[in-house]
Amino acid sequence: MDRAEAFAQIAIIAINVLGSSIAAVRGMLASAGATNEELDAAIGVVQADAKARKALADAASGRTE
Amino acid sequence: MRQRIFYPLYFALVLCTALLFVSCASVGRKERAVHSYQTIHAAIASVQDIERAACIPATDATKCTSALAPKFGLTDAKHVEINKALSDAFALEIKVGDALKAWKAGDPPPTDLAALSAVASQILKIAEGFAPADSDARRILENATRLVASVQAIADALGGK
Repeated sequence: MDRAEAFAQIAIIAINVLGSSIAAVRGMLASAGATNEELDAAIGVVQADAKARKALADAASGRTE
Repeated sequence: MRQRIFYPLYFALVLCTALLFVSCASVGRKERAVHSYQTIHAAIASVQDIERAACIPATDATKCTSALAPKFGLTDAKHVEINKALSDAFALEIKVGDALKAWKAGDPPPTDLAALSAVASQILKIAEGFAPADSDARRILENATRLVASVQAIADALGGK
């Protein structure tokens, strides 16, 4: 095996490793169930309900806020 | 000479492995924190719902109309006291939510968690004052206990434990 052939083989292996690593990251993120945007949206839903419930608690505690 | 040829391959392997762990650890920690955040909200909301159902406030929202409420210790004064704490808890929960949205790997847990933890303990203390023989009082206590644990769970998730 000459040097050029060895480099070519290494390049092919490196590309395969990179490709499978990227696929693995994407797969693990998908299996985790939520992207960062989806997590932020879930937080927003909770916050909206918390605001409505805070108004109820304010009224019940006599706060005029 | 042959070993030098493999250096780029070793470097690529190490880089890919590091990227894999950093990406997954960061999203995984935030996801765990968001689950705890949802549990916190569910616990505070449950305390509110059970308390309101037991109190049955009418025209004057600060007074209970239920004849059963005072029997387990839910007086008008306690109704006002627990609702002040619930209002504080919801306000802090909204702030923690904003901090959680902006959180990135390496950041410390949101600073408002300490204040939320203090309010959660306050709600638990009020709940512990209710008669434990009553089922509503027990449910309030269970949810207040869950609330305290969930606040700690967010800190643990973002603190990397």
